[in-house]
Amino acid sequence: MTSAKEVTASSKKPITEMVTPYKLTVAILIRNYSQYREDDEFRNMEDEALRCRYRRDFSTLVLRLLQSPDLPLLELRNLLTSKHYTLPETLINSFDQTLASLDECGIGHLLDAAESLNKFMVPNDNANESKSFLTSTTSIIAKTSIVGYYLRRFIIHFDKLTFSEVAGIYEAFQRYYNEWRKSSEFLKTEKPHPNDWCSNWEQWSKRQAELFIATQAALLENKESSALSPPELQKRISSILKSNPDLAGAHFLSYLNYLRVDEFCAAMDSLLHCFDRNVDPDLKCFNDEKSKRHRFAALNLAILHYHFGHIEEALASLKESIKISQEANDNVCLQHALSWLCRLTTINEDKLIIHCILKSSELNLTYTTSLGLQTFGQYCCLHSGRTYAIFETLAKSDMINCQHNYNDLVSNNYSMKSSLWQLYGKTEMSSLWSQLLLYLNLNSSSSNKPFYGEGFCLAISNVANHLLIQGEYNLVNAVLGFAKLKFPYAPQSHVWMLCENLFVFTRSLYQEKWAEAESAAQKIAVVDKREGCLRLAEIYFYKQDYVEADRCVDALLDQYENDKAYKFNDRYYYVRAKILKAEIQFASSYPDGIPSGIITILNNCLIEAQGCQLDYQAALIHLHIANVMLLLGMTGQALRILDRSLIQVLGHGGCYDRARAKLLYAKCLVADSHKLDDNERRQVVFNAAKLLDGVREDFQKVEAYSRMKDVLYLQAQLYNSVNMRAERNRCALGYRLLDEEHATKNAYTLVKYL
Amino acid sequence: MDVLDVKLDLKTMKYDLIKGIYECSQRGLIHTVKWLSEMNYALNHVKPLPEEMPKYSEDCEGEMEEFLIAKSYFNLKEYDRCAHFVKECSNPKPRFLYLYARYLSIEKKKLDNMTDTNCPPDPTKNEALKDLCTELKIDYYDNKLDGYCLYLYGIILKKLDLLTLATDVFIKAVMLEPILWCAWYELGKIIPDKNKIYSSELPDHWIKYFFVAHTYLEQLNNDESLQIYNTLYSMGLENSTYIMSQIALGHHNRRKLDEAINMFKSILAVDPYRLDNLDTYSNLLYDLADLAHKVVNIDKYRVETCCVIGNYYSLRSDHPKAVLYFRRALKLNPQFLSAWTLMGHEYMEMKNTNAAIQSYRHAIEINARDYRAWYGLGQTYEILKMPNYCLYYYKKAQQLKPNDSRMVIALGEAYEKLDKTENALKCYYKACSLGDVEGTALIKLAKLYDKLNETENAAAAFTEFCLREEDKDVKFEEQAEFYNALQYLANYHLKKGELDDAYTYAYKCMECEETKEQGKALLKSIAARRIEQEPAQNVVINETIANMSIANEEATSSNMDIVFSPNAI
Repeated sequence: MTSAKEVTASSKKPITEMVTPYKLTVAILIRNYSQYREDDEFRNMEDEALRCRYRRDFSTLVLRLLQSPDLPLLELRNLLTSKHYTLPETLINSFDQTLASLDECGIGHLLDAAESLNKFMVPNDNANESKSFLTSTTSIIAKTSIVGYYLRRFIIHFDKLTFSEVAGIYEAFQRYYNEWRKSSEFLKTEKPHPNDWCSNWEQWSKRQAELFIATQAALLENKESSALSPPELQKRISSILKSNPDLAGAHFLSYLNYLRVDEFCAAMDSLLHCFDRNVDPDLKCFNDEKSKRHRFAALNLAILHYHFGHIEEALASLKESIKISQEANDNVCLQHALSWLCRLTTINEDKLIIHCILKSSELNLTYTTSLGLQTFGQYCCLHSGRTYAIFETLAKSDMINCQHNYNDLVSNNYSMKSSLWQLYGKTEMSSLWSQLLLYLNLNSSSSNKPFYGEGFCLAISNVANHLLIQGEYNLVNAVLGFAKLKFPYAPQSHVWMLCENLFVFTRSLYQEKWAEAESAAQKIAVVDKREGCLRLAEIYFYKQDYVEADRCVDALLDQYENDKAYKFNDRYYYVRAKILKAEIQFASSYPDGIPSGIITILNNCLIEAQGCQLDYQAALIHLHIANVMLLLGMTGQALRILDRSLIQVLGHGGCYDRARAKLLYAKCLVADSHKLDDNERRQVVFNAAKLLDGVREDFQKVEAYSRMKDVLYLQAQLYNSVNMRAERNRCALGYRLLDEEHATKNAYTLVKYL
Repeated sequence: MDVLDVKLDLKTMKYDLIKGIYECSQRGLIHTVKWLSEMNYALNHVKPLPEEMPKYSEDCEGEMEEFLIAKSYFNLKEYDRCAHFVKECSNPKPRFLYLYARYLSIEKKKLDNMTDTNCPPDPTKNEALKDLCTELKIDYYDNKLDGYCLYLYGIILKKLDLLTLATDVFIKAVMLEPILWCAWYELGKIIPDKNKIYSSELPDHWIKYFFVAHTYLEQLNNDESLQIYNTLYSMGLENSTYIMSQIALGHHNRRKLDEAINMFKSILAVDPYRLDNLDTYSNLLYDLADLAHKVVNIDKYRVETCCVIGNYYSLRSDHPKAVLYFRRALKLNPQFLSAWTLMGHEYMEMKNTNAAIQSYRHAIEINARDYRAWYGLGQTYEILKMPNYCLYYYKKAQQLKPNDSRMVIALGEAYEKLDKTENALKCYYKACSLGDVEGTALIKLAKLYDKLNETENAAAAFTEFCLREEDKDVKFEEQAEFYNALQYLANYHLKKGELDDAYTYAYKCMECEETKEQGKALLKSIAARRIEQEPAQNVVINETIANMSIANEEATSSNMDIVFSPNAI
């Protein structure tokens, strides 16, 4: 089979690197520096600090020069003289001189210069390496250092060149040099940004391109805001591909880039192109090893489809990946596929997740294990598992993350805990975890690299939400602005979009700007259907459009109760929808009558809420029950119920809820005081009126003007009933003034609504 | 001028050709001279009178000496030297020679440097070409370029990937010099689609027919192209090897293999040492040994030669050697598309899927419209048992060649594997309506219906299949399939109680060894059913007419004899 051998041999291109003028220039720079270091001027330098600074700055500069793509000489020169690096004047001068003489003296000089590079690397074995380094007598560049590798590679490649090639390089160098000479006469002022990846240069060596791809990919994963913008990045990628058509990684980066802007066709093209190119045709290994890339290709295709929400296609692709992995006995790929399966299907989800966790830990796939644990935590939470078990699961995941330094998972875990606390109605705890996550990234002293992924975005949004319910609208705006800056692209942008619309919605709802609130709710529905539906129902409810509100809520409840396949296990929404339903029923029939079953409905809700530890929702239900009781005239009962739930609401509720709870409490107190004698009653009423001051302030903070008016009205009535004219008039005046600015749109809030 | 309404005045044509040959050979445009001369040769029978011959006028006033020396250096491929001597000339002819020599010098050096393995030239670096382009640009905006220089400007723009600009420049060039075939040719390569041909303003010249037909063929509008070529062919150009080979290509693209082969044969009879397009010819033949021998003697360093030899080894199932030759072809011309695709096929044969994928991808990177490469990629992934993954590739291939039933069938098969029967059915239907080149769509359709238990549809498809099979000249290529279909139909009709039809089909089953036994069994059960049916009829029919029923029984028994007679043999 000689022919076959020949085929493989000829198809394997020797990995050659081009000798470019830039590389030549850098090599000369290094050579001149080495000369300078042996110079008496450097050795006899008085200022030890300056000497160290020279050495340090030169080293960092060279590292940067070696890693960046080829720079025009102008940029290179600007770097040498820029403020970031302090370099000795002598070095720059000698560098300029060498280049000038190279340009003038012809090709012979170039060959001399290349030969002179050899001198700076004497062979040094390990024994005397340290010694020579310390004494720095002859060899300044260690053979095995980065610079040493660079020079040696350069020498070897240069050595291989034929004469015509050398001539070509010399001419290229002349062009390169003269370009600078010409341009430096005009553009002396322009300074390049020191950390910029060279502006637009076409020549990428393979190493440079690989570094660029790795850096940008890492940035996309960890800190998207610092990565290049999508069009810019795409430009670079195509220039890389022009000079390195074999670089499959570039196609993958372009795939990631297209995902940022949700460009389906191009993303698909790039992904498949990447995997087509990624195969090594000369690979002569076992069959299962050979098809490994195909398995992951299918898996990645599934991920692509998932990203665009094509669940069926994703499942089909995933199945294919699983099929061929099973045939090849590739457990690793199978595990990855399994964890994606958990994400894509609802059938037997719990068993799948558990299996995924067990198998992954068996195979030492710690990342998937930890991810599986987190998913399991989420699953349990949605299926009303026991709280402590959920937190225990998350703690296990925490342990793994800590051991392996999975920054993204750590932040996921934090945000998950935050949302869990939020779900269980402990907003303060939730806010605390979010802030811890933010702190994690601030803490520069720890070894953790900051991670600005989804978790971070969630944490920011959580903080914004928390500020929102506290009525700190300006701060919310500031926080959201920050989020927008950090996460300009999908899918992370959905998180802050939801948050932003929620903000607009809440504010306009409080201010009774129905149209704005409705449009915000519609926008919420785009990102999160269920939340949007609930919010729409809420807005209709406050507009007293009970029919429409009822329709919205029913649609939600229907989905939950009837459609088993629909992934609506989330009790949180269910309970909220039920509460809203009860509210609608009550409000639509009062004051003509109180619906007979309303207490039962609320009690059912309560059981549901308590069953899955939705403490805050339970407290709200208690408030509603108390409200009904109050209107039924069972004031003592109402007060007793309030006693139970008030702490929860006051402790964890936002301004608006707190105010509503206190308002109800005041109403109950006054209503209950009919049993007392006049004097005592007077006292109670007076206290209640005082209490309402705080309520009013809370409402004011969240800009719920109509509710403020309600409170003022009630206060005026109360003061009137205890004959405190001055106070009464003050309240009445306040009411009058507010009414001029904000006309009431829903006159029943005080009577019917909580 | 409607391109389909072809009118040729052979005398004008001849006049133009002779003039063109002179002008182009003066300027060193050798390929155009070749094409024009071939055309002129085809018009051998037209004998113009001496006064109808074009008059050559000397148009190098005062620069004759410079031009002549430069032209001689040009002919010797010493381009730099040539350019040096006509540097100062202002007449259009030496001026063109100067620019053209510079361009060729750049290209030649680039080609020479390709062999430098240590420091291959960077394809993106085109300093010299850019300089030349700038020079031409200045003249272009001063309207100083004649048709020839415009052509040169166009190819430089094309080299620099400025395609839209290049299109405009080529159009201008052919407006000025309609005879300049090379400009037409380049224009045809970069013109994006059919509509653009009509929307651009092109000169009314007989050469336009050739251009339109050529471009149609490039864009795989085979039928339109063939129509024009056939008309041209019949209008006094039947000796033109160029037109013949274009017609052959058109037939090849339309899978009319016999016509294509015949056409190639007649070309080789006229012009035995012609190598152009022979790689396509080699795709058509089953015995390549002679052809391979012939071409290797003509010129062994031609891409066409390498492809022919590669195809030859491929037919001999010596796939590693075939790959070797395709590789050689690619070394000679890395942009030679079909070699990449063919190499992909060879790797597929060698079960080296990874290398096959790479080869196909290379082909696509060169030309994303190469449907065979997309199709090949799809097949590769299908072999790797990734039917879902290969869908994308088949879809691409099908988009590029929407009227080819093979792509649709491949797509249908993939769908069938994924249990997307509805899509699969649609694909097979479409394939049937597209003419079904390989004749497998119907049987696949029928089988799929059968799988879905839609017996009515399955039977209809099987029937259609059998009818078509019987109509074919070469009978029963797919013996087994055909007899299975017959058997199915026999069973079907038997179940429905249509005994006569069942009988016909079952009887046909007996013609083949494999289905003979089943055929016999079927005939038996048909006979049994007949017996069953007869008494049943008897019950229904008036019992009082007992005599008749007895007579009936007799008739049945006599029938049975006939039925069982083959059994006895």
